[in-house]
Amino acid sequence: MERPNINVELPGMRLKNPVIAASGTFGFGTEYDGIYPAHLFGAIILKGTTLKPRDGNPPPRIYETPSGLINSVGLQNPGIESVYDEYLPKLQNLRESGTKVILNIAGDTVDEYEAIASICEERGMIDGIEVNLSCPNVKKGGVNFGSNPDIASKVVASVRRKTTLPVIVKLAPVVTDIGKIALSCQEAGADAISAINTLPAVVIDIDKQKLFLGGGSGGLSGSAIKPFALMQVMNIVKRVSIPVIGCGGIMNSRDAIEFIMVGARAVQIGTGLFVSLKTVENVINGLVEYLSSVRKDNISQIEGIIFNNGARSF
Amino acid sequence: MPFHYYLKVHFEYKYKCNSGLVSSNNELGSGFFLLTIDIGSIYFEPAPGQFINIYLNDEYGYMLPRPFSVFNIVKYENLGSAVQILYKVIGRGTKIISQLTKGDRVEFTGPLGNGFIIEGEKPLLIAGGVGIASLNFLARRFKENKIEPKVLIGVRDEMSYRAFNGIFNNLDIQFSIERGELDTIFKGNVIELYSISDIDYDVIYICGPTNMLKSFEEIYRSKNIITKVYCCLESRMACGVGACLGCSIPTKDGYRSCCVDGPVFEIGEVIWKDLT
Ligand SMILES: Cc1cc2nc3c(=O)[nH]c(=O)nc-3n(C[C@H](O)[C@H](O)[C@H](O)COP(=O)(O)OP(=O)(O)OC[C@H]3O[C@@H](n4cnc5c(N)ncnc54)[C@H](O)[C@@H]3O)c2cc1C
Ligand SMILES: Cc1cc2nc3c(=O)[nH]c(=O)nc-3n(C[C@H](O)[C@H](O)[C@H](O)COP(=O)(O)O)c2cc1C
Ligand code: FES
Repeated sequence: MERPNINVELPGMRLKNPVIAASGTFGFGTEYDGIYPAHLFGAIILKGTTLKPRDGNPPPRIYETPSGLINSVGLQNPGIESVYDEYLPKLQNLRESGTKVILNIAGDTVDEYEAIASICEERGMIDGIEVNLSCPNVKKGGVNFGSNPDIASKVVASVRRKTTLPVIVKLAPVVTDIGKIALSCQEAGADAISAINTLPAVVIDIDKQKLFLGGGSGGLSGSAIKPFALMQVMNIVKRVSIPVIGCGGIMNSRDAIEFIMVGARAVQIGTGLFVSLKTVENVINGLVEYLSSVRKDNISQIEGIIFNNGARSF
Repeated sequence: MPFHYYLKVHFEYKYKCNSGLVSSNNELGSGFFLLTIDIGSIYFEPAPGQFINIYLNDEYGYMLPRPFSVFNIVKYENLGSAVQILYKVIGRGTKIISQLTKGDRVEFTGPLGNGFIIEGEKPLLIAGGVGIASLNFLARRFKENKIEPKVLIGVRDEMSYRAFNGIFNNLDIQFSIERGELDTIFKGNVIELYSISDIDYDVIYICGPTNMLKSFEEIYRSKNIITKVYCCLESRMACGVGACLGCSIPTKDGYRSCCVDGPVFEIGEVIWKDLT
C-alpha cells in the first residue's frame, strides 16, 4: 500500500503534516534550534504578540500538577514591531522549507487587535494570524473577549477587515456554549477555529498561606485537560463548517488521532513539547502507522469519523 | 505536487541535545545522590554554572524536565566522557531519577544557560547544600588554572555533612552545620559562617536556595561590599531554552529568563525583593 497522506488543507495554507506548535510553547521559533527542529512541524504558532511590548506576570510563573502544567507567563512579548524586526526575518528560511509560520495576536481592546492585523497585512512575512480571544477586554471591565459571541465576533470582524491573511480564531475554553461562539466567529469572517486555550487555575502555597503564582491565577494545560478539550472541539465541529484545529494535552499519536476523530483537521501541541524531545516525531510517525494499520490512505478519511459512527455533540 | 513524508522522521540531535547511559547513581546518604551519565565521545564541554535538563519522559505523569547544574565532567582515558550531577531527592522527579540504575538511558538537553565568568586570583565560593554542585565544577576549573579557591558549604545536619565530606577531595573547604553538634565544625548557616570568617578574597561565587542568596545580599548591601559577586539562581523551568518564558528573574533590565540569560547573574543585576 502507498504511504498514507498526512498533509492537510487549511484555508490559504496546505500543511505538510497536521502537527502545529502551540502558541507560547515554541517562543518565536528559533529558541529550540538544534534541539527541536522547527521544520518537523506542519506549522508553528509564535508567542502571543501585542501592539506594544509587555512585561508579563511576576514570577513564579510555572507550576507542575499531576499530568498538567499551570502557567502564568502572561503575555510577555516585545511588541509587534520588534517581532517583525527581530524574529520574523529569521523564520523566512523555515517558511521556504515548507513549515508555515503563524502569528498569535492578543489585545486589550478591539482597536488593538485591529491595529496589529493592519501591521501584519502591511509587513507580511507570515502565513496566517491566530487571534487569541482569551484576553480580558479592558474597556468592558475585563470580561474575556472569548466569553461572549457578540464581543468575539467584533474582534474577528475588525481583524478580518484589515487583512487578507488566513485568520484562525483561538477560543477561550470555559464558556457556556462554545459552539455558539465559534459560529459567530465564522460568521464574522474567521477562516478556522482553534481550541482550546488553557483552563483557568490557581495554586495555593500552604507554607506562605497565599496564592503561589505571581500572576495570581494561571492556565492549566497538558494531559489533564485533554478530555475536556476533546469535548469542546466536538461541540465546535458540530456547529461550524470551517476547519477546526484541536489542542489540549496532546502527548502522542493516540491523543492526536482522538482529536482528528472528533473532527479536528490539524492539531496543536504545547505542553507535550516540554515533556519529551521526541513528541513531534512520535506523533507524526504514529499517525502514519495508524493510518496504514487501518488501511486508510489519507488522514481526511478519519477526520470526524466518530460522527459517522453515531456520536452527537453535548 | 504531493508532499512526500517519510514513514519515519529522522533527525539528528545537534548541539544541545544528548542522551547517555547511567554508569552509576550512588546514594551519598541523607537523600543526596551522585549520578554519572556516560555520554561517549560526543562534543560536550559545559562551562561551570551551566546546567542540563533531564527528561523524565513520563508522558502521562510528571511532565517537565528537571534542571541540574553540572557537578563535574569525567574524561575517560580511552576516549569518551561522563557528566555528573549531584542532586537531592526532594519530590517526584528527583525520586524517579534516584531510581535510575546502571545501563538506563537518560535523555537531557545541555549544556544550557550562561555559566560563571571566571576571574580573580582569590575566589571565595559559598554554597548552600546542593548549591555546591555548580561550585564544585567551578573550583576544579580554578584549580586547573593553578588557583586555589576557598569554599564554604552550609549543610543541614550531621548526616548531610557525612554525605558531602569525601566527595570533595583536595578542595579547601569549611563546613557549617545548622542542626546538631560536631566538634570543629561551625554551628549555624553558611552566611553566618561567611560573616565571621576572615578569608581574603577578590571575587565571590554563590549558589544555593533563594532565601540563602537573599540573606547574603542583605549583608552585601548593608556592608557596602564592592567585590564582584556572581550568583547562580534557581527558577521553575519548563523548556530550558528561552521558549516558554516561564523562568523569569526580575532584573534591572526587566524580566530575564533564568535558563538562557542566567542561571548566573551578577548580584547587582537582580531585583532581590521581587525574587521568590
Ligand atoms: C539552573 C538550576 C540548577 C539546579 N541544580 C541543581 C543541582 O545541581 N542539584 C540539585 O539537587 N538540584 C538542582 N536544582 C534544583 C532541581 O531542579 C530541583 O530540586 C528539582 O527540579 C526538583 O524536582 P522534583 O520533581 O524532585 O521536585 P518537585 O517539588 O516535585 O517538583 C515540582 C516542580 O517544581 C520544580 N522545582 C522544584 N524545586 C525546584 C527548585 N529548587 N528549582 C527549580 N525548580 C524546582 C521541578 O522542576 C518541577 O517542575 C537546580 C535548579 C535550577 C533551576
Ligand atoms: C507556557 C505557556 C504559554 C502559553 N502562551 C500562550 C499565548 O501566548 N497565547 C495563546 O493563545 N496560548 C498560549 N498558551 C496556550 C497553548 O497555546 C495551548 O492552547 C494550551 O497550552 C493547551 O495545549 P497543551 O495542553 O498542548 O499545552 C500557552 C501555554 C503555555 C503552557
Ligand atoms: S524555562 Fe522556558 S524560558 Fe526558561
